Amino acid sequence: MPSSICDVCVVGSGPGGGISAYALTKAGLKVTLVEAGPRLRPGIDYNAHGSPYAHLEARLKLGHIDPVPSVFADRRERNHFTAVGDRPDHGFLKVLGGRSLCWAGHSLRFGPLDFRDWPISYEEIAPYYSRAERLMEVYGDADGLWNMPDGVFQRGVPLRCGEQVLKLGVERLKRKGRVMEFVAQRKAIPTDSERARRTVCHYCGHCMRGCEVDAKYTSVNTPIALALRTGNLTLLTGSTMTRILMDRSGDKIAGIEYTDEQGNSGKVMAGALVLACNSIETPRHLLFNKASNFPNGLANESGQVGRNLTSHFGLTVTGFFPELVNRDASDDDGTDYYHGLLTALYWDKAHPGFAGTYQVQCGSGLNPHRLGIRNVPGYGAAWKRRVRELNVAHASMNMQGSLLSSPEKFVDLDENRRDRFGVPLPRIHLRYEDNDIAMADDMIQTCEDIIRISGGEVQYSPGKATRDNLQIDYNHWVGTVRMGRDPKTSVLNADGQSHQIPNLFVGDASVFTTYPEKNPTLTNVALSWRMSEKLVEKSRRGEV
Amino acid sequence: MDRRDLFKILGVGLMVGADGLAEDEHPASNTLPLDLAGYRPRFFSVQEYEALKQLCDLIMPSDDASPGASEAGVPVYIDSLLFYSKPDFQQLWHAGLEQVQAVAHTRFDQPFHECHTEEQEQIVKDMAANEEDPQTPLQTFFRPLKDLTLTGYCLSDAGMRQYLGYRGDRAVKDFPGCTHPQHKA
Repeated sequence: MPSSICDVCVVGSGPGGGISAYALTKAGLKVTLVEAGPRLRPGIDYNAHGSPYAHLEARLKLGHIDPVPSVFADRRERNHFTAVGDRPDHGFLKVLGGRSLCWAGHSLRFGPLDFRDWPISYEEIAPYYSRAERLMEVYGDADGLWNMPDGVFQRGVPLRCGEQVLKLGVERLKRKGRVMEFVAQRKAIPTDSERARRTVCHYCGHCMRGCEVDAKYTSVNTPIALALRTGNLTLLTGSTMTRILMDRSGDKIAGIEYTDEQGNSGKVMAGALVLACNSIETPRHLLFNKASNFPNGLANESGQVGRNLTSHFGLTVTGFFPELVNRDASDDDGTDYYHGLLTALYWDKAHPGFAGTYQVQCGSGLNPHRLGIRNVPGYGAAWKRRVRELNVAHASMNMQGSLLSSPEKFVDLDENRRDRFGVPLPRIHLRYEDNDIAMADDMIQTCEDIIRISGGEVQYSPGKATRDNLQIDYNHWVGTVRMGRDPKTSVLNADGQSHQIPNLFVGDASVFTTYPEKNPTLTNVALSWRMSEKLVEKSRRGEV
Repeated sequence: MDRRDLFKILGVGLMVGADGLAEDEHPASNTLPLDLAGYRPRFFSVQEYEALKQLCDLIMPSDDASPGASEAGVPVYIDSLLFYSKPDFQQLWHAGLEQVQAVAHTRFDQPFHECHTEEQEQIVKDMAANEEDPQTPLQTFFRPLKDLTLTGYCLSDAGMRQYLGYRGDRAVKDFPGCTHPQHKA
């Protein structure tokens, strides 16, 4: 079995693993980055440009129904976990760069309130946010919100008509005493040709399908590219980690075993291991790799590995605004569907009926691949006109609330189902609780209020939230390997290092102690960058 | 925007393949031009296909601004999709069109595509009568037929450009967003 030696082995190349490989190699450490998937070339292996009908035949032949290519829809893993309870799902993309290839780019700083229960403060992470925003090339406006602090931004991208009309409605509600803010989105997409180091965005709206000109930040186009340039990075694509190996003392990690696409196994022996496999796969590997000194799984003396699972969840409400019927929507793709964000809800004063906060992503893009409104009764000439009017003049509000963390939500192993390497598949347990339903009901009411006071009609609303109509955000899982000061209630210390195993670090979003309403990726990158620098310091001091 | 700006926007990696690119087009890869005019059905029989074309046009007719579904290529889209689909989906569509033909035979003594326009309209009216809660096999077929007609139409060049007025796939240097003062105050 071939065996290589390095300073640090990083497993997983998504937002967390990519930045870790960069920070470690930049500091001079020899790093091996292990990624289960292949490397895809933007513009060649994925390219949604062109007429959908021109893509049709080639795509149907490959077994895809959607004529417009999408890296995520085409390549996402299926049947790789067992769902228990209220329809949990998991968006998992096995390619170099992971989910960073098709994310919307939403980059919102967590604020001081959000770090209240964390072992680190906003002030400690703020410098890493700034560095992350510079590297990721985040655009945005300075909004002056205390709990979503402004960052280092390139030129912001303005709201469309539908979003602008919602903003006016929010201003009216604020005058009536409601506490909320409506701002433009902040995304990791360069807009400023004077400052940009990647290709500047040309507003085709394909961000979630995979940016074919590589404008949007991915792990591949920025940190992994920079890490390769240091000469300190060895990249193993198509290589799946199958085992974590312990050293002779049994107290520390010695390396990992992997299998490549041809079925050949190999070992990477490393001074330290960074797991960045995602919030479902990282606890899975820790739980599976039981060792004599770790009978409950690696780093799991507290029993907290796989616990504290949380994500975002919500529902969608759509409005129709008669005053927008005749607008020209011809160039409205922008940076994908959501240009607006309703935020600052319940930061200052918690809602009496539920714990936690939510935000609402607001969009009014008119992309034929994604009609905002489809279910219009009827047919024929009048129906044809009506569908067009409703689409041009719609705005959609997609709620994103923090799921209450509870003993009912966790990840464990399904011993009855194993992958082809013999590793049990993960099980995701999700049960919505009264708090989740109460929050969703408030979200629905708030969105309907905004649409009506904006002069719109509620075109679609679920009305009431139920366990059956709530939608989980399957891309936003966090919390399963959380950081904390107390080794009894957490897995990692404030530096992302295992309380128990000094040379084990975690670089994905599973480390989040608690979860606010904001999107996870920017914070994942900032935390993983900080973790990696702590790893370098500790390794120089002989503490790993 | 001049050509050089466009290349700056599209990125160095694409310059090689982008030779001869019109100012506002995106380069596409892995595409095959679809011959809408010369298309022969691969899934439906010639008769079924004729009925499908007329059904699509009754749902999505032509008007002053844009062509009807069949001119836009929607039957090509539907037939191609079904040709590559799983058997249960194919079965649903075969059964649906059989229903349409059976009803046309019972009521007007000829296949749907040979009925007069008024007769066809009567059949479609019956199909759509209980859209939210279909009561007959004919009515059950209406929703899938209508959904795929709408999807196919909006993805067609004519549907995208002429019907929706969509030009969002242009490479633009700046995103203007909403420019209407009345939406801002």
